[in-house]
Amino acid sequence: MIDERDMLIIDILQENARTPYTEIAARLGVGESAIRKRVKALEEAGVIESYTIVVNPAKLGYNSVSLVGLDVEPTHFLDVAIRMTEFPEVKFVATSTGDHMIMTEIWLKDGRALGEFIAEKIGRLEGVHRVCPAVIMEKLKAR
Amino acid sequence: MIDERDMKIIDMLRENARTPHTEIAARLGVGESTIRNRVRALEEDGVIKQYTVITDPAKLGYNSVALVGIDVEPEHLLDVAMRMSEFSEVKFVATSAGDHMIMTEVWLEDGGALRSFIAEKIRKLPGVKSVSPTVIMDNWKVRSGYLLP
Repeated sequence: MIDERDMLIIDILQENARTPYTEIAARLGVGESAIRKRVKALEEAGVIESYTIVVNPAKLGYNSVSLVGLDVEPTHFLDVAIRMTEFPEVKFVATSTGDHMIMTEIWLKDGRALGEFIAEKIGRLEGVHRVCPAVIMEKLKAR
Repeated sequence: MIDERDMKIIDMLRENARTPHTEIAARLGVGESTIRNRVRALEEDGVIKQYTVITDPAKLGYNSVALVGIDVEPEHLLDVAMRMSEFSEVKFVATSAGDHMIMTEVWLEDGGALRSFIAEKIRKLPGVKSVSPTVIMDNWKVRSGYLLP
């Protein structure tokens, strides 16, 4: 079970995943080995899946970031999702229910490249009915 | 300018943001101080924005993760986006063009909680015309991006 101290550790690592255990220990008023053990337990339980960085796509030359919803024929649902994961431009793929059947996040150089990617890559996958891009303009909140 | 070595450093940190600089240095065959300087430059230039952790929402008790698109009267675009940012259940908010005008990511305990959040919180914001939730079933690929469920 996750207790309040675990949540505090997760919050600190969410803010900065490189925070040294000694610093987390000092902030929570416990020993470093206690923190090390708890973090290890959170990793082993799969609560913490990985440590990563958030980058600014524009600084890497990606000026067009969009959340793209796909609607597909049910018989092609899984292949389309798998094919989508194979494109390096696609950073996130999830099967979903509701507004769309598959949700993806796509990073491209600019709007023209997005148009081409949708027409020439996604649109050509068998079973795709509709491709609904929401092009991100400004991020107001992110973890 | 970002060169190939910077991209390799970024890729390694994406894989594991806690990788020690000494290990990155050894893998790239350069000194630790080179890595330290490059990482600092990437941070100062705003290329690397944050070091963070990816958690499993279900293991934290959030069994309903949804991407929720919102369409609003244009004159309410910014207040709705701001109001959405204030809810602790909402982990991501961006204004967008195309499928929906505002895209959000919402974490709740279950489907019932999601329904009441939409009915009682989102739909009651002035100017909201329609709310379109897409409930995530299975996450297939996450490279660090805007969305890290």
